[in-house]
Amino acid sequence: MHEVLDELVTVPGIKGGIVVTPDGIVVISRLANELDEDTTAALVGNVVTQTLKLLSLGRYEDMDRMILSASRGKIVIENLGNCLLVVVTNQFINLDVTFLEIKSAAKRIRQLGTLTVSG
Amino acid sequence: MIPILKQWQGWSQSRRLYEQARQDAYPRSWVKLCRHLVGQGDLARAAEAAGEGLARFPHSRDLRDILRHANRLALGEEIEGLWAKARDGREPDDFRILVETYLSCEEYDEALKAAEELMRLRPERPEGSALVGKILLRRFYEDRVASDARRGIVALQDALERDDGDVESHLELARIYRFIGAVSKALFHLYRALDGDPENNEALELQEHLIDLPLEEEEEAQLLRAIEESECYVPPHEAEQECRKISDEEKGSLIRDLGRLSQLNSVVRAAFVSHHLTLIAEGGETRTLNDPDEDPLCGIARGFRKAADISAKRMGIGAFQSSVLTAGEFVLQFHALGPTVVLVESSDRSMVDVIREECFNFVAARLRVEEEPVHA
Repeated sequence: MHEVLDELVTVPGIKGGIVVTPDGIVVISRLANELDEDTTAALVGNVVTQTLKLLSLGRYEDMDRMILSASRGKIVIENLGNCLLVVVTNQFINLDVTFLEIKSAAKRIRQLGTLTVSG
Repeated sequence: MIPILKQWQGWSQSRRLYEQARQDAYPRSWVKLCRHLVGQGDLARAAEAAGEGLARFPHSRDLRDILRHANRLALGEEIEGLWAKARDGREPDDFRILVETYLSCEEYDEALKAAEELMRLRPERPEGSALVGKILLRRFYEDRVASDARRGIVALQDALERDDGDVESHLELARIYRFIGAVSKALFHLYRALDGDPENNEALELQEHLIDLPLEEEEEAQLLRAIEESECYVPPHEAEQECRKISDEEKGSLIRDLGRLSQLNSVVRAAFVSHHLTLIAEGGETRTLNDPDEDPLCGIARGFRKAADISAKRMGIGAFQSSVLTAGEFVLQFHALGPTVVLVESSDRSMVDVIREECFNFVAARLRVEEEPVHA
């Protein structure tokens, strides 16, 4: 799984990738220095938990993917089943181009099967 | 002959698009014109058109991106030259010019790298830290991310440790402390600035505003946290500013536009939630709700915007702007403008880009629709 993230972070504009459990525990991470992995994981866990709670108000099923754009960067969250792949990018990235790389990384991580949670 | 013909066609199309843009009530024609000019390689005119479009639609993200992109391309060589000169000469003034150039393209990270390089090359001088402080505070005023303000204040204090008489750094600290409501700290730095330059007009003006304000009761960290979490912060010195409510005319246009948004192919429903107005539209019919919780879609819009904004700020990626969420057969698109959010629910993933473009137009076609003071 390290290799998948190592390859992903070489894509221009991607600042890092991290696999977390839905409750915010880091499974594996490759993040740029300015991003703290525990903070990122906790905040992603928080936003996903709140989103799922909100979605349950409507008639929606589980979340498959979330792309969050902010003034200084973007975050792509792919639901892998028992965990989440989170990719952090700069704000200038063209996700139409980069998306294939992210989807392919998500697919490869899924194929690796059961994840062992560390930390 | 053919190149001349192509040039003429390009020019003629630009002219047609410009006429269209001037009459369009939405920013989409300005975006088309700018993209056409970029395609023609005419970056100067693309930047000019984006600037003109932004004067009318200041919240158009597309126009802002085009302006930044055009400026960046136009300044590419200049920036290389500035870097070479700054590194060779190690003069703080050259680094300051480089930082200003990056900031003109909104490239905060690159501007920070330039300022940090000055700190590395001239650690004994205060200018590097002062520049880092100014960049971070400028970003804070734009995005209200507390960590930017905290780091900016530390950098300016670091600059003052090297040169306690630097009037500009004292003034910068006085401004930020006034903004967050830390009046006693603002006064301290203001008087230090006036010690160095008793005739400084800005400092004298700041003094007039500050002496009437009550002293803060909370710590700096608490004040910053409250600003970060606030949906629409108004600094204490602007407290008398009236809330701008949505006028009847604006409400009419919102109802009409949201109805149109809900008629797009594959759109199931669309919601608009702000402090003073909640609308829900389906099949072209728009209803006004008294409370967002009357409809789950509006509750989701409000709750998600708040959670996403705070998380984005604390993750260090700035203020929340938009989100696309896929859940089973549904796609939910959120587009925020300050505390206001538009949420569109659709049922066809292939329509995401079309709907996103229309949402951008919807949001950018209006100014921030209301301001509600929230004090730290």
